[in-house]
Amino acid sequence: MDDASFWLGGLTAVTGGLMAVTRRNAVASVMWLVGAFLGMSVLFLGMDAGFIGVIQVLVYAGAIMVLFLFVIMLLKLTPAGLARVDRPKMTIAGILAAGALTAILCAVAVASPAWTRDGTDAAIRARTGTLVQGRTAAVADRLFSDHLLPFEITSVLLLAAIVGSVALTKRKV
Amino acid sequence: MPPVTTAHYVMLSAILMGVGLFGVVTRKNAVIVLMGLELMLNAANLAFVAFARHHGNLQGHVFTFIVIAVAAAEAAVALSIMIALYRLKGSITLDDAQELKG
Repeated sequence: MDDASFWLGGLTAVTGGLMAVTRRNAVASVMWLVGAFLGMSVLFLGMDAGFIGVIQVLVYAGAIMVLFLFVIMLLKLTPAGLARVDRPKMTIAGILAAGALTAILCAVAVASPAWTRDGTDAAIRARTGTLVQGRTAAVADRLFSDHLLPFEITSVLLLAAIVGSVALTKRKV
Repeated sequence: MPPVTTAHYVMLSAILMGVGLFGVVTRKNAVIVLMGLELMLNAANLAFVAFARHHGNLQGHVFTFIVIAVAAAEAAVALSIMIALYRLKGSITLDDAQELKG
């Protein structure tokens, strides 16, 4: 676990995420979210998950965010009259819900000696004998042997998504 | 500063999950609600990869790969629903789509 990449990537991801959900303009939100996803990619690279880190940039920051941008610009979403956080009454509820969820999960993480004491690089290496390297060949080896069925089902899901989006957006003739 | 452990990554994942939840609960613009959802999926991915490293195997990476594929499919379908909603209502404000509220 590389300390520098954790703090750099974590700060970028949290800042980008917070800005993305509070911007008035949807295009600005998308741009901040791209920044957050790049920060997540740095986090993945810091954990030696090279394949996931690259997929994160290609699929999330690239494909999905471009799709968001296309749709926002297609719909001519004018931010006219929208408050920064749209539902003032819900802001308290949102802060409470998000704060409670974060606090509970953080409390669990801090209270767990398995994750704090045994979670350092040295402890992981001593316990498992290795620090996993998520290179493409290694991930593909797992994917095409133990997890072949979920992988194939994912392809069916993607086909269903393609057919579904065409059917939903097609103009009725 | 203490060295970064698995707990740090779990806490960061929890914070990102909270930020995404805040966006989903408070926003009225459907596109930004969907962005909050994507952020929550990403927080789960981060926890998966951290646990993969913690337990010394690659199962978490495979899970993350499949979650990313599912997120792509979900984003495509959700955005086409928004286009259909926009054609029907002329906006994608969630308050305009309340017919099923009862």
